[in-house]
Amino acid sequence: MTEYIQALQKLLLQLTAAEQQDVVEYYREYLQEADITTYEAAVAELGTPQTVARKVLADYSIKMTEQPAGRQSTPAGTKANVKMIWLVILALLSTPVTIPLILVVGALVVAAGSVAFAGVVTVLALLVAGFAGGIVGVIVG
Amino acid sequence: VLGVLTRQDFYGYALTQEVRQRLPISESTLYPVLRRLKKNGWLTTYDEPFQGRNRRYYRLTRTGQAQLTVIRAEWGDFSQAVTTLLEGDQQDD
Repeated sequence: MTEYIQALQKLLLQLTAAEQQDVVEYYREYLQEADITTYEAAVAELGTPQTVARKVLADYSIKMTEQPAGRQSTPAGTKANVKMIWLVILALLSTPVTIPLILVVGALVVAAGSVAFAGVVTVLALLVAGFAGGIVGVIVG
Repeated sequence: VLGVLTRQDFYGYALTQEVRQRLPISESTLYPVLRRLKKNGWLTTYDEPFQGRNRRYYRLTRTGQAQLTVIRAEWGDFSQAVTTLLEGDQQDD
């Protein structure tokens, strides 16, 4: 069982020491409660250490490298990566909403532009008409 | 999980068994769930000695209790809507 726990811990090096400790303690306790003592029995119960590590790391949204040692990334970099991943996912998921939204906003802008243009033209036309009317009036009068 | 914890506090292994009686989750699934619930402040943990080692118990917090009420209400609405849709009920039948 110790072998299993050690294998698991080796796959969790990307996590902080406290987080690793928490994970390892949970599964150590679990195996003790289940009366499991051998590596094989632990695999039969929980799956391979890789499976367990993948589940735990997926929860931290950290991509697990296939090497057992796993690169040690800085917590800040990891956090930024996680944020970026979430942003990308959010952007992808929201395209059904954002694309029509952009279209609607674009259409509104065009419509508003047309209305403004029409208004300006009308005012100009009225002015011209007024002038013309005035001139005609002067001539006739 | 929150629902199960309203009855009593559980330690990891017992809680897994309890949930597995109802839903086919795998034995290793519950750790991430418990971690998130704890992070949200919906449950707390405490250790209790048992046969020379510790059992980590999980207990529902007040916030967790409130959250459970919200979830129950949402689930009620949602399942009702799905049931209605599945049965193909129509007002003007």
